[in-house]
Amino acid sequence: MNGTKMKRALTYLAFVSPAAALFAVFIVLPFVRAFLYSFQDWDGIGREMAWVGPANYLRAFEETAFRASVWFTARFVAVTAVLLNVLGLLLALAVNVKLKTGHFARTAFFLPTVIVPVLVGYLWGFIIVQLLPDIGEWTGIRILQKNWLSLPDYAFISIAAVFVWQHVGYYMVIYLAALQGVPRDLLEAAAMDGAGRWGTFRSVVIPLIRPAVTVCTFLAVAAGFKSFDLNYSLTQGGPFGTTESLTLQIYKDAFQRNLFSYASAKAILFFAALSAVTLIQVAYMKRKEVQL
Amino acid sequence: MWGETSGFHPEWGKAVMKKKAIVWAGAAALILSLLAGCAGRQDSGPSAGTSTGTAGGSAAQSAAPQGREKAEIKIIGIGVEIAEQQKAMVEDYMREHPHVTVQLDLPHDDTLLKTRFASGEGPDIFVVPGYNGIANWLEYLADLSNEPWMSKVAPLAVPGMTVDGKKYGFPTAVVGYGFIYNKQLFAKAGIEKVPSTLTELREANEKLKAAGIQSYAEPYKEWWPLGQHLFSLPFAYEEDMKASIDKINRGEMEVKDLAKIQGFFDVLDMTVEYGKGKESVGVAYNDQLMAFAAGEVAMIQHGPWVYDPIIKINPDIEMDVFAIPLSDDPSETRMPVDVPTYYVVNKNSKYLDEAKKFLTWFHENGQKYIVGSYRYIPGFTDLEATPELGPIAEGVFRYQKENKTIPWAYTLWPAGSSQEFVKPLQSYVAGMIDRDAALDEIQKIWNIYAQR
Amino acid sequence: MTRSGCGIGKGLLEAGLIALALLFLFPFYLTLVNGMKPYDEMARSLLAFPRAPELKNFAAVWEKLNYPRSFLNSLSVTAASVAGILLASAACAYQLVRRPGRISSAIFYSILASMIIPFQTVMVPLVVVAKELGLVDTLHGVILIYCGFSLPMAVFLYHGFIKAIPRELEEAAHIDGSGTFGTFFRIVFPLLKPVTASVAVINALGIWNDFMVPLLMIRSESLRTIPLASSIFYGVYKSDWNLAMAALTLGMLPVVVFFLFMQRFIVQGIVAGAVKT
Repeated sequence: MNGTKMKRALTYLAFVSPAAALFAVFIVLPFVRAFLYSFQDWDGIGREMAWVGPANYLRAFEETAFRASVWFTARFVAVTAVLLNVLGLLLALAVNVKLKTGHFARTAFFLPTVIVPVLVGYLWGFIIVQLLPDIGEWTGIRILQKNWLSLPDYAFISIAAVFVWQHVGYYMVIYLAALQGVPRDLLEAAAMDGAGRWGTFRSVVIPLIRPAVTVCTFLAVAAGFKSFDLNYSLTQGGPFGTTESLTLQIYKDAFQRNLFSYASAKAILFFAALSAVTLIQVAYMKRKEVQL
Repeated sequence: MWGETSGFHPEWGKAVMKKKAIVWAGAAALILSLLAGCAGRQDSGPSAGTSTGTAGGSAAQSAAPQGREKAEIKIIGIGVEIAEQQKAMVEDYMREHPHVTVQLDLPHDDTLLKTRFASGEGPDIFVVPGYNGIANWLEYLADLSNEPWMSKVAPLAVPGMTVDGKKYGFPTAVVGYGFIYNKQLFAKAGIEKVPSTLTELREANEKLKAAGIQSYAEPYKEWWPLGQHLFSLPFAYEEDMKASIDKINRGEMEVKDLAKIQGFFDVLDMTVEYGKGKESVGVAYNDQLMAFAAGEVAMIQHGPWVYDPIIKINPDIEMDVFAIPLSDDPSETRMPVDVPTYYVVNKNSKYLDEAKKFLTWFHENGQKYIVGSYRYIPGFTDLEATPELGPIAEGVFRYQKENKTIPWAYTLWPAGSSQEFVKPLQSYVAGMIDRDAALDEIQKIWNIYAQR
Repeated sequence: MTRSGCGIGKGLLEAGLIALALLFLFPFYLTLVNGMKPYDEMARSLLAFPRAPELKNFAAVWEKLNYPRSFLNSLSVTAASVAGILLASAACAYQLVRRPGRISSAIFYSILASMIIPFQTVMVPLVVVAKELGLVDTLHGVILIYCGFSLPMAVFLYHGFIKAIPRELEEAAHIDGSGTFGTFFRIVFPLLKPVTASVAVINALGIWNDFMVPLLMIRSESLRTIPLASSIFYGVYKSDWNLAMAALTLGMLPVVVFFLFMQRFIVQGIVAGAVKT
């Protein structure tokens, strides 16, 4: 018996350790270091760092800019997570139907994920600032004639829209894989029982793609929280800081404002909050998944 | 659940075969590319640490003269705008000094520099802003006071890199900025004399408006034209800029007490009123340049750095530059001309002497590189700015010769604050807060950063 | 199963899909078109089709990027990282699922939690760690970092999908005398094709386009990946956007080809796995 147990343990180790080792060295270790930095007052340049305890954390809670970016990030995540999942699923459904243009459409929706973020900012910046007003004049729609990146609310809409454009293909792919994993015979059985399209969808498809929904929601929330490139290249966090995501603020604190330790503190706070949110969300959704 | 409950199906077996083939093909491709990658890495050792390829490097290695120790200098240089020119200069140096390899990195912002130092790999030569930049990095800087070129540094460049009597910097360039204007458009509007007071500026703007020409398209989406360059002016116009800033740091004075602060807002108002209005907050730097090059806009607030991009678009445009007035006294109006950044040497460099020699060589060949290639106004008394630098640089040089200059202020702002002031200013431009509220916000930001 | 009006419905759907797809592709049109214009023409009008489309930009970019070299670097890094991620995470998730318990849960949830850590937070300490391990300025260092950073998401995805594979299959194989390794590679892994394909594609794209890790890790010019090499085209005070777009097109092309190829593979894999008796 002992031999088998040993063998089992070794097998476990063999399978798990490469991943665990990489994880420990490249994620846990730097993270612990960042955690330590957050209790110091390092500016990112000098070699001296003094311990200041929780000072950075307290300061973060008092800073209006920090609260503003938390508020922005929360709204941004809520909006984009919903849009990415709903649109992702819709597109996957549409593309799943055997259409002649299915292949073309699928590639087209996925392509934005391929483009380098800096250029996304530039291209969409051009479209929003130069093209939208032209379209506005042509159609007479007044709101389009304004520069959307100069108005806080519309800048928010812009950045959310571009974010969705850029990432929805990713979610479409996952949903597509899930949809195509739904056994044909179950669908046929439901059809034969007289269930309509919508009925089949609701009682057969949705429960079976629940794992994908959990996964995609989790990913979308995490992606929204971590949004950086677009804020950096499209809006630079503007106008006047209203689209400064948490990650952008952390980056600026660390590398532009010479507040490296402060940035680390904010990052830890951010991580703690986000872990709580996502763990709750995952636990909740996993419970609702169909167990087969 | 994934489509089957039975196990081994003949068709599935076929799929496995096909899959195996693809896996093998993939593995082969993988191995090939890894080998290629490894081969690449062997090339890359010190002999190929140049920025344009391996040829020069390996030739240099085999030609290394006997008895000369090989050296490797790492430089984090100026931005990518003059990437080609910097690479060319480095290549020339390596050709003349075969025992030295130079590795050149071009930054977009401070991230690279800070990360390298943080991981213990600070470069040998790098670039920092004057005053506060030098102060921030002081513990890494080598004392360059006795270098052969130090006596030739232009007087206006000295204070920014001097700390406790010791000198640490090699000036990159003398730069100035003001309102660059399109001569043809000014002529069309009937403006004969360049404005030198606020009133004259308003008159000029009115004339442009009457002629149907848009005066400005200021890119207030970016942080630096407004938050750094324009906002520097009220500080720079102070009688003793450093003393005033010290007072503000000590809390004895506030930003709103600056003599020319209202003048600053007056000019800002004009750039907005005769420009894109509240939407200026959404205009990007590129948009502005292209509009100016296309002749749609009469003035832009910039310096010689815009010359190349504009000429590339429209070689026929005629430009010049004038200083931005903040009052109605023409004798007060001057152009901010200063040396914004310096090359500095890492005092812990393994190849300290070689790094210093590099700078010496750079100065000796300054006319060829700094002026001829980079097209900068040199910060040395023994180097000359030539007309090829373009009309904007000539304009700046003109103000410098006539001594009608003021320094640049933003390098003295509290560390880390320079990108923050723009936010309340943007709110002001968008009409969301008034002057007093903006000044209060600015003071709050100042206080936070001054405390560190 | 036919329905009246199905044809019209499908037609509308097709039309709608095409319209949306074109909208999605519009920025790519801009990229392609402007990559073929000289700087002044691009400055005048970003929208217009080039008056005389020229390939000069591509030639210049090819040379400045040292395209063959940077392509090979990008390829090695991406391929090796993806392979590493797939193997390590599938294996790990497999055992975490099949041997549930406190340790497995602890490992799983820690890995899960780390998915949230934004790169900017750990950027600097990561470089310090890399330096201490002697990984700086090496391609394998970059690969290891990518593996480490992409593991959490991959483990998460595999975990979820492995759970849905019935144990009977493995038990049957076990009875037939197959060991755990064999069972895993011959039975379980093939069933994970859809996930594998998704994870591979997603990570391949992310890594191919990534700029920050190479920026921090790579010094030697000969090790540069495409995004890193392309960064010389955009600066603060002046950006050669037309060259940048040509560079982007060159950088994107291999990825698009890869995706097209993978698409068919995904479909094949799924169809093959879904055929029933």
